[in-house]
Amino acid sequence: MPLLETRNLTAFYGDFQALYGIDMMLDKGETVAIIGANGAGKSTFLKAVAGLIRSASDSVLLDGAPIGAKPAAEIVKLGIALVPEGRRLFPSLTVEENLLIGAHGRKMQGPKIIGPWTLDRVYSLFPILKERRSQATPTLSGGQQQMAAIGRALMSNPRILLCDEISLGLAPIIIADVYAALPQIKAEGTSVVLVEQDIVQAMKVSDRVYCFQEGQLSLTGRPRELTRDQIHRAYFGS
Amino acid sequence: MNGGAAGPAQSYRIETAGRVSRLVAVIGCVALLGLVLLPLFAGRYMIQDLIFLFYMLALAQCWNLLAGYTGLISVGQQAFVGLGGYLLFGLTLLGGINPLLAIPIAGLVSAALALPTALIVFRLRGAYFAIGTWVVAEVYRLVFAQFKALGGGTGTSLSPSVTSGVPGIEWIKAMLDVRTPAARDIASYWLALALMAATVALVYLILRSRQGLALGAIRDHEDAAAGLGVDIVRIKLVVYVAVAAMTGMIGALIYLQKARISPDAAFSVLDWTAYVIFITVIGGIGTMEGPAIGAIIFYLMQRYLADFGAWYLILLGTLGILVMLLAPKGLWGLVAERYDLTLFPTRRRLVIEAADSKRDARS
Amino acid sequence: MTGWIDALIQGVLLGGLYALFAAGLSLIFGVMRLVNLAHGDLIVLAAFVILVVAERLGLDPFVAVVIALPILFVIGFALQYVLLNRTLGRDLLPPLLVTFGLSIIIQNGLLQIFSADSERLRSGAIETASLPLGGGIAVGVVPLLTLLSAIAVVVMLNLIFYRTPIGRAFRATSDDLEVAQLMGIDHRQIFASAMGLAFVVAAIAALYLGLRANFDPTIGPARLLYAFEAVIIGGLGSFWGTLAGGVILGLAQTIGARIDPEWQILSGHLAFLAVLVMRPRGLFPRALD
Repeated sequence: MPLLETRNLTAFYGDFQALYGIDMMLDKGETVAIIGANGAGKSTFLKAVAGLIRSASDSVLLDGAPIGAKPAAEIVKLGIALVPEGRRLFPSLTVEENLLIGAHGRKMQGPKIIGPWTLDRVYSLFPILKERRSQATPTLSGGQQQMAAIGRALMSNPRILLCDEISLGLAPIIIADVYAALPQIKAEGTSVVLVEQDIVQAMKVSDRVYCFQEGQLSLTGRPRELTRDQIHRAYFGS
Repeated sequence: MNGGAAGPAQSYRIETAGRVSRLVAVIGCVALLGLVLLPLFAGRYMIQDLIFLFYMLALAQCWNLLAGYTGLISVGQQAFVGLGGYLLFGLTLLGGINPLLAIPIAGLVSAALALPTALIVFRLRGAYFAIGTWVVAEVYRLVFAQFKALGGGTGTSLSPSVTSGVPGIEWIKAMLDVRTPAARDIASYWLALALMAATVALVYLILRSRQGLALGAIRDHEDAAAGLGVDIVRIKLVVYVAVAAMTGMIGALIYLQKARISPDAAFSVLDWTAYVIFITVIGGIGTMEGPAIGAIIFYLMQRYLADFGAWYLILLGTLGILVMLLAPKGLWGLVAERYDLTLFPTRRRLVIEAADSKRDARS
Repeated sequence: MTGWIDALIQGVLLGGLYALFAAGLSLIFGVMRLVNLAHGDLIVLAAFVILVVAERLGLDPFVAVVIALPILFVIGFALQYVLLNRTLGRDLLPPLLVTFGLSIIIQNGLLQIFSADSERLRSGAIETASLPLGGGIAVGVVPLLTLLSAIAVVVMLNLIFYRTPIGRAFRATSDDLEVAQLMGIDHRQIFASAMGLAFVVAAIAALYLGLRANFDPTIGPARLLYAFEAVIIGGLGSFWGTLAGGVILGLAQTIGARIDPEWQILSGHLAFLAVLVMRPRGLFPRALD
């Protein structure tokens, strides 16, 4: 059974339909990339999985159990964490407080945080954050903010990490730094779904790729097996 | 694909009045005529009740324009009611001016004072704006309580010479064969009717104008409206001042009729804000029909339930909360949505005429 | 001269009371952008709760308030969870009008239960006790306690907000509600907790309100205005700012009263309007509203 599965997932913003029935699968330990042009529905998809947008109960299944109608606060406790587009760190909180609040959901569940991701473990993954632990987050550079946002999501010890455009607005060398953390995250057993504008990066790190176009799936396959032409057509349409 | 063929020509127009609203306009005119002639057959109590209904409706239309359309949620309109009332008393008792003339003067002065008031309270937003207007109203109240010439904290009354000074009272007495107090009431009635009709007409005209279209945009999404070049501050200022003028005149009329004024009564949050908000919300905020319906309902409730004192007010508060949570568009909103009705056509619809078939494309 | 010094001291002490009124309002606005038009009436409600507890159990108000605190926390929590949470959203009108309706309901409910008679919290000798400061000037013990309590409340609120997990949750929810949900924060509970906390602060304010002067069901709205003025003068986003705002308001009132006793309240309003004109964001703003 796949770890995460969406069946005919649709989503609306008011009267505007953003997703037209997406079927997607993620196996345990996999890294799946979602690519597509702006407005294709990639972020919407992640938000729907994370519970920020409500969908039909059985359109999102975690370990076979329907979670589509659950609110975001519950879904993070089930083990799905979202690194939102644009980082969206809390400006009133310091770096360390941002990380600590990431553990809020898990903490509420029991006396101890179960799982590998503790404050120290996140600091060893992103040492620069430890240096800046008491600073207000708006003072961090883009790359540092992205690391903080990822660290914050990891603090909930997710089984599935959803990353929304973590390379956005970052210089290539910084993107490499951020992506360097991915293998360690995967080593701890976390499965990853990445939304990426940077197709090359997406293909490099993922086991499978889904391409969105105007709210629908236009292509899916393994990076090695897809041709440039195929991707081009799936991305932009014919 | 056909190259170079033009599509069929289409023309369109912008329409505001539908068939139903044209019918309603006719009915409205007839009703208005009936109301004008009413004193010929109605008893005194009915006339007094209608005066109350008219001015509460007028106040509600004003508040609705301010809060429902312009997004200026004021809980301080009692400032202008009281101001209008005190201006009437001051102009007639101290200035010897005829009460009929004093009413429009009260409106002008209210407008003049509304300008600096607006410049101060506009510095606040949202709920803070609301409380800010309340503070301003309190300032007005405390200032007028210092005016010993008008009774200070305990207030004062209008002399008979003033109340009978409204032109036409002798004519009414002769024509309708009534005594002075009844004639006074009838004169107030016609004034109230005129003022209410003028208020409704003015609100309607504002909403139908270009400014009204801008108001709709501001109400729906202020930032987007600003991005389109709508001068938001100017429109808000104009509406605030216009509403202040109308409210001032209504206040002058109210206190001409009551003939007795005191700071606590004239600047009462309950009478001139809470009840007005209740009327607008129950009836339907953001529509012109809503306050009319709300005023009628409120009048009925006042008439039959006001004796219950504190329980009555608890009921009003509870009703207001329930409507706000469960039916935010008010009673009129429920009806209008169900039957797609509009009596006061203020919204614009795009009507596309049929295509000109002679110019169909041919390959 | 002593008259003016006395006015200054009284102003600062009065400011403590206004700061207590304002702290709850400031807290609620900070966490959930809600301005509770019933805030003043809630303080009056709390005063009546303390009164009932004190009379029924034969306790001194200072002890009664300790018992009243958890009761009021629960009332506040429930009110937010059941009613006020439903009003929050993008639209300004519902929270404003619902809390306005609530204000009317509370005032009239209290009128029904307690009648319009003035009440007072009695604590014996401490009510009239005073500390001489020399030069013929003395400060009342109760006003002094009020100011000290106000300072203690501000310290406590800052502690909660900046040094506890729930305070972190308050700040995060206030920053970005959507992302706070992604952290597993149940915003409905957070808002309800914040309101409960605000009620606790209101209870402390009510204690000193009732000890200092007579109270009856109708005095709520005036307290709301003072609380609001203190918050705006001080500036949004800072509890110390709110304390400063309260003190400035208190000073404006007592100095105005010194000129003419009838001008006390008006002076406060005028000072507020002056600050609004000259410094719309308040004197010590912190929040990035």
